[in-house]
Formats: sequence, C-alpha cells, structure tokens
Amino acid sequence: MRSPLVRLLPLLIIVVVFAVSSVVSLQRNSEASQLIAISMKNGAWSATELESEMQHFLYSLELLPAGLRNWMDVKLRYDLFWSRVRVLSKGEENQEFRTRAHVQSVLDVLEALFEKYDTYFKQAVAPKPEILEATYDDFSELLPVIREINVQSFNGESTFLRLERIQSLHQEISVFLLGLLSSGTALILFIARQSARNRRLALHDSLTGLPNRSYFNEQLTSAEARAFRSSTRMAIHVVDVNDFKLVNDQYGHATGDQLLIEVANRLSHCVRRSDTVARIGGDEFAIIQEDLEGAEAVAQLGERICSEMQAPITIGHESLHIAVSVGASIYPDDAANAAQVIVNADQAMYQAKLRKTLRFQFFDRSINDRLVRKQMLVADFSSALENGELTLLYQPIVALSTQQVKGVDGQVYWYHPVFGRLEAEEVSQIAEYAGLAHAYIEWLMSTACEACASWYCSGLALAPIYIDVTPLCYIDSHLAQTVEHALRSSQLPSEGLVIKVSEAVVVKHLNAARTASASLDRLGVGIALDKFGSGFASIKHLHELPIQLLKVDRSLTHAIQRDTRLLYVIAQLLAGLNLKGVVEGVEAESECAALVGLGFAWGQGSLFCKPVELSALIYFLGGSLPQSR
Amino acid sequence: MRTISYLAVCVLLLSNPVAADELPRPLGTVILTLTGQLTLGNSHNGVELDMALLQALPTHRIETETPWTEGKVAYLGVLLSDLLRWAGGEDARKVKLVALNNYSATVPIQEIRSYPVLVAFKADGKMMRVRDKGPIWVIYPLSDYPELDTPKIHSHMVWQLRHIEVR
Repeated sequence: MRSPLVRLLPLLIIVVVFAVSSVVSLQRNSEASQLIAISMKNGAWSATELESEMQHFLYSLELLPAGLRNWMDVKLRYDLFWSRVRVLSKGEENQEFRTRAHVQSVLDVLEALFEKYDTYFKQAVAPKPEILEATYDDFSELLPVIREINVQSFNGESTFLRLERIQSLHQEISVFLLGLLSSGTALILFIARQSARNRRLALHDSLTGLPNRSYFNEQLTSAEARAFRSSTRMAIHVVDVNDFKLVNDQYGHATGDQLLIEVANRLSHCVRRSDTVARIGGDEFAIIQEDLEGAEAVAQLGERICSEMQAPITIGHESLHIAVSVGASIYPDDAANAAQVIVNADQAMYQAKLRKTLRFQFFDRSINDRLVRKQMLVADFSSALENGELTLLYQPIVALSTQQVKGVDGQVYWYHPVFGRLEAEEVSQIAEYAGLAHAYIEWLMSTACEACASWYCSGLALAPIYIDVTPLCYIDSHLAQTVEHALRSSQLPSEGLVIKVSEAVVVKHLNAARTASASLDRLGVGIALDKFGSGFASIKHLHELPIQLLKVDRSLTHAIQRDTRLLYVIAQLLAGLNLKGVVEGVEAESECAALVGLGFAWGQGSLFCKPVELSALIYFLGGSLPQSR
Repeated sequence: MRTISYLAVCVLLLSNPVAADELPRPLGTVILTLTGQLTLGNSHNGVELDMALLQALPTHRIETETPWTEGKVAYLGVLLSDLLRWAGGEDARKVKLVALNNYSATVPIQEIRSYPVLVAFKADGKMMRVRDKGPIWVIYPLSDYPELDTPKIHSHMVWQLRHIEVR
C-alpha cells in the first residue's frame, strides 16, 4: 500500500503546473498586448503630430512675407503648435513618449522658445521681419532633432527592443501554453485512469480480482443474449468450497482468504479464455461456459474443477486439503432464462454436496420437482394444521385367533389440494421441515387421546391407541410433557396410549431415545417398536429399551406365502423376550391362519378392518362390522 | 404638376425658413459654426456663435481627469445636447466635430444623449487659449463614468473645436 501522499504527489504537481502555466501565460500575454498598444498608439503618433505642427507653423511664417498667409493665420499656427507641445508635456497618455531619448529636453526648449516670443504673437499686427526671421531660425534649428525623434519612434532602438521583448514574451507564452496543454492532458488522463480504476473496483472482487456478482450478472445477461441470437447453448457452473467455514474457524480468516485466492486461480486455470469466472458470494464461485458443443464439455469442465482442487493447497506451513461441489445447468435446455439457470445450478450444487465421491452434479429436473413439491408442502403445512386439513384414521388391532379388539392404530393423512393424499411418514417429515413438529405432535396427541378416551373411558373397549411421533420429536425432551398434557386434558389413563417409535430413530440416536423412552415409561405410556424388520432389525435395542410391543412390518407379512422361516424366527424371538407382536398388513384368511400357526397373537389389516374415521371405529367397536367381512 | 411644384416651394419656405432672424446673431468673433440638419439658423452658413452667445446658454460643470492633464480639472461649458436643441438639431443621428487643425471625430447622437457631454470654454475658472486646447474643448465625464475611459471615447474629446456638422 502506497501512502496517500505518494499517490497524490503526481496529481499535485500536475495541478501546480497547470495553475502556474495559466497565470504566467495570462501575465505574459497582457504585457505583450500593452507593449504592442504602446508601440502602435503613442510613440509614433505623438512624434508625427509634433513634427507636422512644427512644419505647419514654419510654413505659415515662410508664406507671410509674400502675403499668402495673414498674420492671424500665423498666430493660430503658433498657438496650435504650442498646444501640441503642451499636450505632449502633460498627462499619462504621453508619459512613455517623454521618457524617450531627447524628447523631454526638446519639449523644454520648445516651451522656452514659446515663452520667449509670446509677446510678439499676442499682438494684433505682425512684428518686424527680423523678429520673424529669428523666430523661424530658432524653431527650425530643432527640426533635425524632432525629425530624429519621429524616425526613432518608428525604427528606433527602443522600438526594436520592444519588438524583441514582445517576441521573447510570445515564446514564453508558447512554452507556458505547452505546459498548460500538457498538464491539462495529463489531468484528463489522470481522471480517465482513476475512473477506469473505480469502474474496475466496482465490478471486481477486491480479494481474488475476479468479477463480482454484479459484473457476473451483466456478463450473464449479454451471454444469454448471444446464446439466444446464435441459437447456441451455454452452461452455468456454481462452485462452492466444502466446509469453508471450518477452515476459517480452524486457521483464521487470513488463511481462509488465501485459500479463496488459490481456488480462484485454479478455477481461472480450468476455463477457456472466453469463459467467465466470478466470485458471487463468500465461498461461492460461478462460471459461464459459452458456445457449448455438447453436455460432455460441461461435465468435463465440472470434473476437471473437482480434480484440480484435489491437490493440497499450501498456505504458510499448512497444507490444506479441500473439496468443492460443482453444480451445472444448461441454457436453454434446463430453463428459458439465465436467472433460472443459476437457480438450477445452485440446486444441483447442493445435490452434489450430498455426494461422497465426485462432487459434480448436473441439474436434474426430477430432483427439482421433488424440491418444488417439498417447498410447497412446507409452505402450506401451517395453514393445513390450523384449518384441520390433517385427518387421523383408526385401524383396530385384533387378537388373530378371537378377533377381539386389543388396540387401535392411529394413522395420520393429509389431503393436499395439489398433491393429493400424503401418508403419515411424509406428513411428519414436512412438519419437521416446516419447523412445526412440536405443534403437530401436540395436535396429534390431543386428537388421539380425546378419541381414545371416547371409547376407553365409556367402557366400549379397553383398547389403547397407538400413535407414532416424528423422529426429531421422539428424542426431544418436550415429548413426555406434551404427552402428559394430552392425557390430563382428555382424562385418558396412561395405559390407553402407546407411542410407536421407528427402529431407524432408535438406531441413530440411541442415547436420546433411551432417555425419552425412560421418561415415557415413567408416565406409564406404552412403547412399541414400529416397522420391525424393514430396517436394521437390531435385536440389541429390544433389550435396552422399555419396549412392550413390536410391530412387524407389512413387507414381512406378504412373504409368508412363500417362506415362513423369517417370521418363525421373529415369533420365537418375541416369545423368548416376552414381547407382544402386532403383524401389520394381514389381508387374507390364509395369512391369518399361518400367523396363528407360527404363534403370533395380534394383527391388523384389511382382513379385519381398514383404517376408518372415528365414527366408523366406534361403530366397529360396538360389535357390528358392516364394512368388512 | 405645376401646382404641386408651387405647393412644395411654399411648404419649404414655411417649414425651413432660411430666415436668419430666428436665432440671435453673433456680435463678436465667430468661434463655432454648426451646419447640416438644423431647423433653425442665424446666417446663410447655418448657425454661428461667438463666445457671448455660447455663454448665454445654460452652463454645466464637470470635474474630471483626462489623459492629457494632471489631476482633476473643473470644466465649465454648455451641454452639447442643449446646444444641438438650441440650434434645431434635435433630429440628428450623428455629429462630426472638427478642430482648428482639421482633426475630426464623428460621434453618434446616443452617446451625447446618454452622457453629459460638455462643450467646455473654461478650465478651473479660466478661459482656455488655443495653446491650452481652447477656446472650446469637448469634455466627456471620464471620472464619473469609468466605462467612458476608453481610447475610442478619448478620440471623441476634440479640443480647439471650431465646427459641428449635424447629420
């Protein structure tokens, strides 16, 4: 960084030269003009007038004796001549003239002569001829000197000196005008350079020197126009440094900055000259790849970027290994305008981030559609919850041999106006994405508990309700509180509620699940392991958690026709651990018979009753079963 | 045709009388003559003035410096515009001022009407002789109106004025 003084010094010098040149050329110019004016006006004219008045006077004296002039004429000429001498002797107009050689002395002599002969020229009649001759002689004696002054005024030394001075002044003016011109030019260049620099600063990222986001957008608009006109294709790549925040946190921002500079260098190295690389965010870069031959070129560039970044980056003593995620989208294939192409590429980049190996991903419309669907559902979830668009259905769990109702499985669904019916699993996912899982569970618990109380407390059936909660809610410390509140307000005994927890949650967050299960157990609420056999089927957890019941996934039920060994093992396991099992998806009598044969006690499925609304369930519990059988 | 000619002569006689009786005649030496577009006159040469006639007109005083004098001098004289009006030269467009040595300057009438331009006959209370740029000197108020202090106006300040031609 140069100091401000060093930066300003050239400008200061230029301005000083400009100012001095201006002032001096103005001064020299006015001096020259004055000299020219003096030479033109006063000197020559005054000298000529003096000589001519003298000639008139002497001539009238000459003509007087011959009677060609009268005495009045001569007197007038005498006065006019005298008047001229006085004009020259006084006032600023002829000041310069009086300073010339001999002028003042001649004027003095003339004044003395006028005084001397004044008495004769006052009289009405002409004096004697001798007097007139003496007058003539005295005055004409001065004629050569006056002639000399007159000639000098035009050609004299002083005139030459003045002319020379004027010439040299003009040369000086030329020099200073040159200074004026060059410093003026320099100023303009200086301003032009400064404004170019300002423009560059405004359009480029100061850290990496790459175009910034606004310049990138400009470039993108013109690239889009070019592609549109020439019917060619272009690709946008969005490049993001993975875990850049960790680098910043671990090594400091200076190292982070150095890393970004190196990433920028490598990116610039990867692309063709005609492509644009820009830094569009903290650790996010974008590339415009124009004039595409085909999609292979896009993949090549994306893969090349990923592999270029694999080489370790050395900053100071540290050698950093980084990876980038690259997403690409093609105009006009993926979208009708460039702005959407960037959004696509950005989405593809996020997809790439999820991958473990090669972090390059083309924009995928199906991914996009899923994302769009998810976004819409998330946006609509809050109003769905408030407006009662969620519905809880009930499916009885029965004893396989007696078909006596042993419980009721609660199943949520959401009928969305655009996407139709969404099942419980997706509803709870959306609730979590929307950040409304807690409100959702509150609604679910109170609805389920109130429904259950309606048959449980009226003595219709001592069948508890089975409710599943979202994975995050299960491990949340608020769950027990929510459950307790729902039980109390619905006055449902705690044994009337069974919480289903999916195997996946237990496996992933074992410690939290253990704590949550313990507090639910303390409340007296039952815990059932849901979807057993669809995932990890970890036997260890059956022992570690206070589980009373296990729901066997419907995928295993359907296999019973071909092979019963797996279900046999599960039945033995349940018997050994003293756990009850509920088999899901029992649809046929033969399945039911086989299950009974294997030793399973309870089941649910369309064979007994489909999931139904509360009123239908109450009807079912009442003993009549109009819709099935 | 003849009738029209007679009428024209009559009109001329009535409107532009050569009659010299309209203005008083000079009794002393004539120092200033006016000729040209004048509706009045006192001789067959137009208007002639001696010093007495000139001094009989309303006088004004101007104190000013000039390039040919040192310090301020008080000039007494008659306004050139008054003199023109007195001699019937109100419709003049310009006047040519001629000096004893035949120097002359032509002055537009606006200049005379816009500024108090003096036909001066006294400087610092004294009559001016020919040797002192007299007997009459056209004086512009240079000190009171700085815009007049230019070489062009200086050339209009005719000294030893002897004749005014009205155009």
